[in-house]
Amino acid sequence: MSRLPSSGLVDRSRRLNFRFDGKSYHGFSGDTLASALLANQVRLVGRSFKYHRPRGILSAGPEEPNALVELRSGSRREPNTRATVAELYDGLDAASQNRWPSLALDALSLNGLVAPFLGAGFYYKTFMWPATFWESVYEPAIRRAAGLGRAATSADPDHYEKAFAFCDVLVIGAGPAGLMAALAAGRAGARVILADEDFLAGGRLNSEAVTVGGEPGHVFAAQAMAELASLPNVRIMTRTTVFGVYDDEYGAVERVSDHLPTPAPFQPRQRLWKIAARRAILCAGATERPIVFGGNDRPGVMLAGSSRSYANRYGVATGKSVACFTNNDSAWSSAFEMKAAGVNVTTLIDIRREVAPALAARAKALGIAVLTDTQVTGTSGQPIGGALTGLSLRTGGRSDRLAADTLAMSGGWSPSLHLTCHHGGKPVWNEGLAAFVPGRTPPGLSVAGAARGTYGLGDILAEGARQGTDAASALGFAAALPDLPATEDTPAGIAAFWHVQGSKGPAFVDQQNDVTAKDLGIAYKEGFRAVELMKRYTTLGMATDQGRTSNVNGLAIMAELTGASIMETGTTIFRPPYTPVSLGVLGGHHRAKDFRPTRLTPTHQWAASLGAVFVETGPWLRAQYFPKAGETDWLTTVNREVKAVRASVGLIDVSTFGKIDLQGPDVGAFLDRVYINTFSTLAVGKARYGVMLREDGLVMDDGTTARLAPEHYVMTTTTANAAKVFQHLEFCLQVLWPELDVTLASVSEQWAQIAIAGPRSRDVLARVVDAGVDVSNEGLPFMGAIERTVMGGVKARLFRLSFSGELGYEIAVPARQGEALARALMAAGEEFGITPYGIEALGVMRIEKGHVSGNELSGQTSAGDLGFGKMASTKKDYIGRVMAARPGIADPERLSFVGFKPVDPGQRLRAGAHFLTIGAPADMAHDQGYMTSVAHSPHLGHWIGLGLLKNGPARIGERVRAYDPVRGGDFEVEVCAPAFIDPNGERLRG
Amino acid sequence: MTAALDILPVTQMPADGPYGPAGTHGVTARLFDPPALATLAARRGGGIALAAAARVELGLDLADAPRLSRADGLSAIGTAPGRWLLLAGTEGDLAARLAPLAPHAAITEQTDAYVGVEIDGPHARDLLAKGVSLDLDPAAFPPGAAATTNVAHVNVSFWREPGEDRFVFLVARSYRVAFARFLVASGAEYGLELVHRG
Repeated sequence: MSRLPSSGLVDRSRRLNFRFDGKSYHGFSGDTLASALLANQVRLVGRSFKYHRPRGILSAGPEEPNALVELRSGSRREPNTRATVAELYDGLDAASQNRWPSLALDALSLNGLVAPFLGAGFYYKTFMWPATFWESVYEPAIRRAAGLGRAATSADPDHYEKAFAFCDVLVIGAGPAGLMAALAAGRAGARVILADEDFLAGGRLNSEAVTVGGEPGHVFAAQAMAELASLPNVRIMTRTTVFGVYDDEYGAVERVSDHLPTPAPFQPRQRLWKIAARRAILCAGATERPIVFGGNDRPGVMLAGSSRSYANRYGVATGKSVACFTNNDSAWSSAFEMKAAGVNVTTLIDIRREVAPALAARAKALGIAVLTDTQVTGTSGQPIGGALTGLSLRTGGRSDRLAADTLAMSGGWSPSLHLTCHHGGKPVWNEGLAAFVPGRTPPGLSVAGAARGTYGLGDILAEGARQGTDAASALGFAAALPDLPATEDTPAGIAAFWHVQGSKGPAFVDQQNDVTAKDLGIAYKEGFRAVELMKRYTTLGMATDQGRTSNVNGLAIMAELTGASIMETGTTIFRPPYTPVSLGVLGGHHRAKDFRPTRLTPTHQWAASLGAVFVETGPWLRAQYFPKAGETDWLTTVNREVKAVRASVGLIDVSTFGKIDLQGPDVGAFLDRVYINTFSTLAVGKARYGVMLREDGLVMDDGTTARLAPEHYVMTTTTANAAKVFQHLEFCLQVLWPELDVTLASVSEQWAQIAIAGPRSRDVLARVVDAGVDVSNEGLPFMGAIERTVMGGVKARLFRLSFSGELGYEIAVPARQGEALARALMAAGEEFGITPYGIEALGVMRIEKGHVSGNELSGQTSAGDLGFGKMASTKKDYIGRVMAARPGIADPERLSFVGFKPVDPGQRLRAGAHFLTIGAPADMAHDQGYMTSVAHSPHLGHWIGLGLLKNGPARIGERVRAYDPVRGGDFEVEVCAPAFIDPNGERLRG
Repeated sequence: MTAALDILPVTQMPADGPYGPAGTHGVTARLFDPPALATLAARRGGGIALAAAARVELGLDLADAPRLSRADGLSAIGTAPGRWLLLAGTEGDLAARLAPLAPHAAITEQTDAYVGVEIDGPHARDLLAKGVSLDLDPAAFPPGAAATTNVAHVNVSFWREPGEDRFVFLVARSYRVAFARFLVASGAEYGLELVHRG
């Protein structure tokens, strides 16, 4: 164990057991997996992505590139979890990834031996030829070798959800700046959300031995949090990462249960928040940069500020013998605090010739050796696992060696300004800070503290307080600047330094993607010098850590190579998400059957009670067919249903059609403009079939519209286009013809509608209507539409319409009466053997009758193509009229609607088969059209089809080849009129 | 959805009862059939006359805004410019009751088109935050405020009743199970009591 005498902020009374790579360890409440592993002296935690190099823990936060583990097991297995942010829980089970057979002995680390061949641009250069080798050989091999852990192979048993939140001021980050900002805005009465990704608010106050307002930093943070929690207008969201800035809202993930073995009952695993904030203050702090030198990726080489976190916050010594390597003052503070906490810090190595005398004096007092003007040029390590054992140093021209098991390095700090880039703002280089600071920020977002490049603690507190006050004031709250707690100032001197020239061994810039300084040299030599090209060519910064610890070093090295300044070299910008976001949380509840809502018809439960098989048609579940006992395949059932309808009577729920109520004196004129045919002349009590075009002249939808009263019409649309047609009509009324006095209302949900069809349908109808309602051929003629009552006083609309080609009616009743109507019709039709049928039988009958449906209303067909040319009025204007007359649309050679029957009646037709002239080659140049709908006609005893054929109507009687390479069909069919039964419609009118 | 939903069929209304950890009761959702409903749409240029007729004939202040107006057992909420949903507290021929408005508006019977869901309880707003993308803080959405929006891909109209965090939703009937699933999935965490009110 390498726990220090002082506890840090972990609770040593709460011991937590965990496993890593099958071995048992224990840590304490308040540990991360990383701190617990370090406390157990586990230094090797993973293998690198490309070269399988042994890697340890670099950081103590979300920037971690190396310590990626598989957390949990089975269906909850979660690859690429950063051990540095994984909160330890009792029973945690983690495994290293990307190693085989074991972490210490990894066979694929041989990749490292061929590293010279795996450098920048390797894939582009090597795998260009032959192309087929990429998919069959190279890619599988690379995927096996490279890797970032294994995803779970079974469904995630946990659930995720989404939520919305609103506030005046969103404070992102609960470090010193964020706490002051939240206090200032919260005390002023503004609605504040304070979000922090850590499980313990306080940020660096928990990691640095500072005094704020006379208290240790972490105590100050806890007190501030307690006050904020007491304010009813402040909402605290810990374990919540604000990952993106969008238009008028922020995206955040709350890790509700990630710190638990399994979520508590009814709790989600994670919750996605969309936060609408009038103002936001980014207080995300800063990320420390490594220094690029040979062997800088060894387990034991880590960031100095992180090493300090492990000592102060977690009470863990990162090693028995710690050296520091830096170009700036913060690492000196790290060294001093670690030493004070009981860590054996032996040496401070600084590239600078001189440091502040106070720092040198303090080092001397603490007994830490100081080597100025010195660089680390290489590292040595253990033969197995590679953990650090020593350093090669260079002071001026002199080389030296130093034993150390931990090197705490710091190349300076980069403000965590990621969110400021999400609206396209580019960071700006600040020479004095040797860091990029925020440029243009998204509207309403300001930046305070280290995220803005403000590094002195007193300044950070003041800046947070000021911005919190300003944000609240700007929104009209009477905000007063809070009293600033006294604190000491932290030294922050820095001399820009990136890369140890002439060091030994690969010097890693991006440790997660295994990009070295040499790779940047290759990119430079090959001309990929612009930052965006360099990034893509080398993959620098493209891993899951988005180059948090590598981007600036990479740019700086390229700048050195090109001789340009860093500002001239520029930077890539950050896009959302700030840290990886699971797909599960983006889906929320909407997965599997809840992917979208299911709509149920008014007769659903009735159909279910009859054993109906349902099918999804858009959001609807509709009865597809009603199998009877002994019927083993759907075709048998559908044939029975069709025969029953044509022989006697059947019923089907057609409530899913769109139904639109139109009222007003101008409805007739309006309908004349939206349909190709005329409706203003329609008599009250009658319905008419209409076709509607889009502006481009192609068919949008079809359906019947009835006139119930002089100024009252009701339109039906297809199920699929119900919403689209309503929207179209609204557009026409609101935008095109606002002068028309017409009002619309959707009545799709108000009315249940059941169709009955077949020669006995009138007999059935007569038994459900109330006394005195005349449904005879005279009382309700073909295309009649009347409002009466049924089933003893239930309001009903009776339409004499037919989709099946048989005598038929549609009966509409208020939706809650739909099921009762179905039962009443079943009872009324019992003596005729009334048969409920589903949409399969409906489809068969409409194909037999030659009616078009969704397959033909494909958005590519004109009225002329579908045989409606004669319906189009020439006496009026209507939407689509002009464009339908375009030569291309009016071309007789266009694909047009006809019927097909197989020459050999035994052949099964397939929708999707393409038509070819007999003897013509089967290629697209000779394509003559395609089959849109097919059905087995029980009436004819063979398969029939509808389709679109070049110049179709002129070719009736001709034979063409129906070619279906997908399913192997290739035979001749005869072109015929698209009406296989009752072509003259005698059954409809009787 | 939640473990609670995994065992609920998507084709049936969840049964009455508590959903969530034993002993918790944070939200109540009461499903009911509205006694009578109609949509009202002002005729072209008829808005002012309609408002006057509503005031004179029904004593109803028909605000052309997403707000609830209520008089004599009749509630109206604005759903779009010049459009309202009218809800009567008792069954009966709402269209006949609205007849004095007919010269100025199209009246469409909708009693069967919607189911009502009344949601209240200390966690009502927490539940709704998981589906309603509007700020329901009393300062932003006070009693009488109404909205026509989309919750978990289901179109809804709703308003806030006077009193503590009570909201009434009107949900298209074919979506009622889907909406109930949203309620169970989102409310079980707080203890949801689902009740079908007769």
